[in-house]
Amino acid sequence: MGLTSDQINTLAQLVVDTAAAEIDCDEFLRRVGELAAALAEPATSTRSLREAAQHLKVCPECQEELRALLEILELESR
Amino acid sequence: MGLSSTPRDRSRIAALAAGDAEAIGALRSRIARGLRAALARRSGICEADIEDFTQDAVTRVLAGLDSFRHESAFDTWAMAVAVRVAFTALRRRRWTPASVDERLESLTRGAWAATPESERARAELHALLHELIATGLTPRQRAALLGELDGVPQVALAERFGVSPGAIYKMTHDARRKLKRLLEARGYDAAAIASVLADGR
Ligand SMILES: [Zn+2]
Repeated sequence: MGLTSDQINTLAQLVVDTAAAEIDCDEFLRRVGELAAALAEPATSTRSLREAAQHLKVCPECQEELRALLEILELESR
Repeated sequence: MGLSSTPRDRSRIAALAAGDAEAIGALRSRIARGLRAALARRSGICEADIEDFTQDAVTRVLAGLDSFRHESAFDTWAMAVAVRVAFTALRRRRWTPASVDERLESLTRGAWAATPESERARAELHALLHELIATGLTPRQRAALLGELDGVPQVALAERFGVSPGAIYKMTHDARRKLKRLLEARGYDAAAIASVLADGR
Protein backbone atom coordinates (compact mmCIF):
# COMPACT_ATOMS: atom_id res chain seq x y z
CA MET A 1 0.00 0.00 0.00
CA GLY A 2 1.52 3.27 -1.04
CA LEU A 3 1.43 5.29 2.15
CA THR A 4 4.12 7.54 3.54
CA SER A 5 5.46 7.07 7.03
CA ASP A 6 3.60 10.21 8.15
CA GLN A 7 0.32 8.91 6.73
CA ILE A 8 0.78 5.63 8.60
CA ASN A 9 1.35 7.57 11.83
CA THR A 10 -1.78 9.61 11.09
CA LEU A 11 -3.67 6.37 10.58
CA ALA A 12 -2.41 5.00 13.91
CA GLN A 13 -3.54 8.23 15.60
CA LEU A 14 -6.95 7.95 13.88
CA VAL A 15 -7.31 4.46 15.31
CA VAL A 16 -6.49 5.80 18.79
CA ASP A 17 -9.14 8.53 18.34
CA THR A 18 -11.79 6.15 17.03
CA ALA A 19 -14.87 5.82 19.25
CA ALA A 20 -17.21 2.83 19.25
CA ALA A 21 -20.11 5.13 18.34
CA GLU A 22 -19.44 8.25 16.27
CA ILE A 23 -21.62 10.91 14.74
CA ASP A 24 -21.24 11.27 10.95
CA CYS A 25 -20.60 14.41 8.87
CA ASP A 26 -24.32 15.23 8.47
CA GLU A 27 -24.85 15.08 12.22
CA PHE A 28 -21.67 17.13 12.69
CA LEU A 29 -23.13 19.79 10.41
CA ARG A 30 -26.22 19.94 12.65
CA ARG A 31 -23.98 20.60 15.66
CA VAL A 32 -21.19 22.71 14.19
CA GLY A 33 -22.86 26.05 14.97
CA GLU A 34 -23.09 25.00 18.58
CA LEU A 35 -19.42 23.96 18.47
CA ALA A 36 -18.34 27.26 16.89
CA ALA A 37 -20.19 29.11 19.66
CA ALA A 38 -18.62 26.92 22.34
CA LEU A 39 -15.14 27.62 20.97
CA ALA A 40 -15.79 31.27 21.77
CA GLU A 41 -17.03 30.25 25.23
CA PRO A 42 -14.79 27.30 26.16
CA ALA A 43 -16.48 26.56 29.51
CA THR A 44 -19.38 24.87 27.74
CA SER A 45 -19.14 21.11 27.57
CA THR A 46 -22.06 18.91 26.71
CA ARG A 47 -22.18 15.38 25.40
CA SER A 48 -23.32 16.73 22.05
CA LEU A 49 -20.23 18.96 21.85
CA ARG A 50 -17.88 16.23 23.00
CA GLU A 51 -19.18 13.99 20.21
CA ALA A 52 -18.74 16.82 17.70
CA ALA A 53 -15.17 17.38 18.93
CA GLN A 54 -14.41 13.64 18.62
CA HIS A 55 -15.76 13.69 15.04
CA LEU A 56 -13.36 16.51 14.21
CA LYS A 57 -10.40 14.39 15.32
CA VAL A 58 -11.21 11.69 12.80
CA CYS A 59 -12.64 13.77 9.92
CA PRO A 60 -10.27 16.07 7.98
CA GLU A 61 -13.09 17.31 5.73
CA CYS A 62 -15.15 18.62 8.64
CA GLN A 63 -11.94 20.16 10.06
CA GLU A 64 -11.41 22.00 6.78
CA GLU A 65 -15.00 23.24 6.74
CA LEU A 66 -14.88 24.37 10.39
CA ARG A 67 -11.72 26.40 9.70
CA ALA A 68 -13.50 28.14 6.82
CA LEU A 69 -16.60 28.76 8.94
CA LEU A 70 -14.59 30.24 11.81
CA GLU A 71 -12.77 32.48 9.35
CA ILE A 72 -16.09 33.80 8.02
CA LEU A 73 -17.48 34.36 11.53
CA GLU A 74 -14.28 36.16 12.52
CA LEU A 75 -14.54 38.46 9.50
CA GLU A 76 -18.19 39.15 10.24
CA SER A 77 -17.55 40.03 13.85
CA ARG A 78 -15.04 42.74 12.92
CA MET B 1 -21.58 35.37 17.31
CA GLY B 2 -24.69 34.41 19.28
CA LEU B 3 -24.62 31.32 21.42
CA SER B 4 -28.09 30.15 20.56
CA SER B 5 -30.99 31.17 18.39
CA THR B 6 -32.82 34.33 19.40
CA PRO B 7 -36.47 35.42 19.10
CA ARG B 8 -35.31 37.42 16.07
CA ASP B 9 -33.89 34.21 14.57
CA ARG B 10 -37.23 32.54 15.14
CA SER B 11 -39.16 35.22 13.33
CA ARG B 12 -36.68 35.14 10.43
CA ILE B 13 -36.99 31.36 10.21
CA ALA B 14 -40.76 31.73 10.11
CA ALA B 15 -40.41 34.31 7.32
CA LEU B 16 -38.04 32.03 5.35
CA ALA B 17 -40.40 29.09 5.80
CA ALA B 18 -43.24 31.23 4.48
CA GLY B 19 -41.18 32.11 1.39
CA ASP B 20 -40.76 35.80 2.30
CA ALA B 21 -38.72 37.28 -0.60
CA GLU B 22 -36.97 39.90 1.54
CA ALA B 23 -35.83 37.33 4.12
CA ILE B 24 -34.60 34.98 1.39
CA GLY B 25 -32.77 37.84 -0.36
CA ALA B 26 -31.01 38.81 2.89
CA LEU B 27 -29.99 35.20 3.49
CA ARG B 28 -28.69 34.95 -0.07
CA SER B 29 -26.50 38.06 0.17
CA ARG B 30 -25.13 37.05 3.54
CA ILE B 31 -24.16 33.59 2.27
CA ALA B 32 -22.62 35.02 -0.93
CA ARG B 33 -20.54 37.46 1.13
CA GLY B 34 -19.33 34.70 3.46
CA LEU B 35 -18.43 32.29 0.65
CA ARG B 36 -16.66 35.03 -1.30
CA ALA B 37 -14.51 35.70 1.79
CA ALA B 38 -13.87 32.02 2.53
CA LEU B 39 -12.92 31.18 -1.05
CA ALA B 40 -11.05 34.39 -1.89
CA ARG B 41 -7.61 32.79 -1.65
CA ARG B 42 -8.47 29.70 -3.68
CA SER B 43 -7.51 29.62 -7.32
CA GLY B 44 -9.91 28.70 -10.11
CA ILE B 45 -13.03 30.12 -8.50
CA CYS B 46 -15.06 32.73 -10.34
CA GLU B 47 -18.05 34.85 -9.39
CA ALA B 48 -20.36 32.44 -11.26
CA ASP B 49 -19.17 29.64 -8.93
CA ILE B 50 -20.00 31.75 -5.87
CA GLU B 51 -23.46 32.41 -7.33
CA ASP B 52 -24.02 28.69 -7.99
CA PHE B 53 -22.84 27.66 -4.53
CA THR B 54 -24.97 30.40 -2.96
CA GLN B 55 -28.06 29.29 -4.85
CA ASP B 56 -27.53 25.64 -3.83
CA ALA B 57 -26.86 26.67 -0.24
CA VAL B 58 -30.02 28.78 0.00
CA THR B 59 -32.02 25.83 -1.34
CA ARG B 60 -30.37 23.50 1.21
CA VAL B 61 -31.00 25.91 4.10
CA LEU B 62 -34.65 26.40 3.16
CA ALA B 63 -35.16 22.64 2.77
CA GLY B 64 -33.42 22.00 6.09
CA LEU B 65 -35.12 24.62 8.29
CA ASP B 66 -36.74 21.80 10.27
CA SER B 67 -33.36 20.28 11.10
CA PHE B 68 -31.98 23.52 12.60
CA ARG B 69 -31.46 22.73 16.28
CA HIS B 70 -31.70 26.24 17.76
CA GLU B 71 -28.53 25.59 19.77
CA SER B 72 -26.52 28.07 17.74
CA ALA B 73 -27.30 31.33 16.00
CA PHE B 74 -29.30 30.68 12.85
CA ASP B 75 -26.79 32.59 10.71
CA THR B 76 -23.93 30.38 11.93
CA TRP B 77 -25.80 27.24 11.02
CA ALA B 78 -26.83 28.62 7.61
CA MET B 79 -23.21 29.57 6.90
CA ALA B 80 -22.02 26.10 7.94
CA VAL B 81 -24.47 24.58 5.45
CA ALA B 82 -23.16 26.96 2.75
CA VAL B 83 -19.54 25.98 3.47
CA ARG B 84 -20.50 22.29 3.24
CA VAL B 85 -22.23 22.87 -0.13
CA ALA B 86 -19.30 24.85 -1.60
CA PHE B 87 -16.51 22.60 -0.32
CA THR B 88 -18.31 19.44 -1.43
CA ALA B 89 -18.73 20.90 -4.93
CA LEU B 90 -15.05 21.87 -5.06
CA ARG B 91 -13.91 18.45 -3.83
CA ARG B 92 -16.10 16.74 -6.43
CA ARG B 93 -14.68 18.97 -9.15
CA ARG B 94 -11.10 17.83 -8.56
CA TRP B 95 -11.85 14.12 -8.90
CA THR B 96 -13.34 11.88 -11.59
CA PRO B 97 -14.21 8.20 -11.01
CA ALA B 98 -11.19 7.33 -13.20
CA SER B 99 -8.76 9.43 -11.16
CA VAL B 100 -10.21 7.95 -7.94
CA ASP B 101 -9.62 4.45 -9.36
CA GLU B 102 -6.09 5.28 -10.33
CA ARG B 103 -5.32 6.68 -6.87
CA LEU B 104 -6.92 3.74 -5.05
CA GLU B 105 -5.05 1.30 -7.25
CA SER B 106 -1.69 2.80 -6.36
CA LEU B 107 -2.63 3.07 -2.67
CA THR B 108 -3.73 -0.52 -2.31
CA ARG B 109 -0.98 -2.04 -4.50
CA GLY B 110 1.98 0.28 -3.92
CA ALA B 111 4.66 -0.38 -1.33
CA TRP B 112 4.67 1.27 2.12
CA ALA B 113 7.38 3.79 2.68
CA ALA B 114 10.15 2.24 4.75
CA THR B 115 10.32 3.36 8.37
CA PRO B 116 13.90 4.22 9.38
CA GLU B 117 15.57 1.41 11.31
CA SER B 118 16.30 3.92 14.08
CA GLU B 119 12.56 4.01 14.78
CA ARG B 120 12.17 0.34 15.57
CA ALA B 121 9.01 0.64 17.68
CA ARG B 122 7.30 2.57 14.92
CA ALA B 123 8.52 0.16 12.26
CA GLU B 124 6.91 -2.69 14.20
CA LEU B 125 3.61 -0.86 14.54
CA HIS B 126 3.69 0.10 10.85
CA ALA B 127 4.34 -3.50 9.81
CA LEU B 128 1.49 -4.73 11.98
CA LEU B 129 -0.90 -2.09 10.61
CA HIS B 130 0.10 -3.10 7.09
CA GLU B 131 -0.67 -6.74 7.85
CA LEU B 132 -4.02 -5.96 9.52
CA ILE B 133 -5.15 -3.65 6.71
CA ALA B 134 -4.27 -6.33 4.13
CA THR B 135 -5.91 -9.22 5.99
CA GLY B 136 -8.51 -7.76 8.36
CA LEU B 137 -10.53 -5.36 6.21
CA THR B 138 -12.91 -5.88 3.31
CA PRO B 139 -11.64 -4.53 -0.06
CA ARG B 140 -14.07 -1.59 0.18
CA GLN B 141 -13.16 -0.75 3.77
CA ARG B 142 -9.50 -0.85 2.75
CA ALA B 143 -10.04 1.37 -0.31
CA ALA B 144 -12.21 3.89 1.58
CA LEU B 145 -9.82 4.12 4.53
CA LEU B 146 -6.65 4.48 2.47
CA GLY B 147 -8.33 6.82 -0.03
CA GLU B 148 -9.58 9.12 2.71
CA LEU B 149 -6.18 9.07 4.39
CA ASP B 150 -4.59 10.09 1.11
CA GLY B 151 -7.01 13.01 0.67
CA VAL B 152 -9.53 11.50 -1.76
CA PRO B 153 -12.76 13.29 -0.75
CA GLN B 154 -15.68 11.28 0.64
CA VAL B 155 -17.90 12.63 -2.12
CA ALA B 156 -15.52 11.31 -4.82
CA LEU B 157 -15.28 7.89 -3.14
CA ALA B 158 -19.07 7.87 -2.79
CA GLU B 159 -19.55 8.53 -6.49
CA ARG B 160 -17.01 5.89 -7.44
CA PHE B 161 -18.73 3.24 -5.30
CA GLY B 162 -22.27 4.40 -6.05
CA VAL B 163 -23.14 5.02 -2.40
CA SER B 164 -23.80 8.10 -0.23
CA PRO B 165 -20.97 10.02 1.49
CA GLY B 166 -22.56 8.88 4.77
CA ALA B 167 -22.01 5.27 3.71
CA ILE B 168 -18.32 6.04 3.06
CA TYR B 169 -18.04 7.52 6.55
CA LYS B 170 -19.58 4.34 7.95
CA MET B 171 -17.11 2.19 5.95
CA THR B 172 -14.09 4.08 7.27
CA HIS B 173 -15.49 4.11 10.80
CA ASP B 174 -16.03 0.34 10.65
CA ALA B 175 -12.49 -0.04 9.29
CA ARG B 176 -10.98 2.06 12.11
CA ARG B 177 -12.97 0.17 14.75
CA LYS B 178 -11.86 -3.16 13.30
CA LEU B 179 -8.20 -2.07 13.26
CA LYS B 180 -8.53 -0.84 16.83
CA ARG B 181 -9.89 -4.22 17.92
CA LEU B 182 -7.29 -6.20 15.96
CA LEU B 183 -4.44 -4.05 17.28
CA GLU B 184 -5.72 -4.52 20.84
CA ALA B 185 -5.72 -8.26 20.32
CA ARG B 186 -2.03 -7.99 19.36
CA GLY B 187 -1.14 -6.02 22.49
CA TYR B 188 -1.51 -2.50 21.11
CA ASP B 189 -4.21 -0.71 23.06
CA ALA B 190 -4.76 3.03 22.59
CA ALA B 191 -2.18 3.92 25.25
CA ALA B 192 0.48 1.66 23.69
CA ILE B 193 -0.09 3.16 20.22
CA ALA B 194 -0.02 6.69 21.62
CA SER B 195 3.29 5.97 23.34
CA VAL B 196 4.85 4.58 20.13
CA LEU B 197 3.66 7.69 18.27
CA ALA B 198 4.92 10.06 20.97
CA ASP B 199 8.33 8.38 20.91
CA GLY B 200 10.76 10.22 18.67
CA ARG B 201 8.46 13.20 18.20
ZN1 LIG C 1 -16.99 14.85 8.97
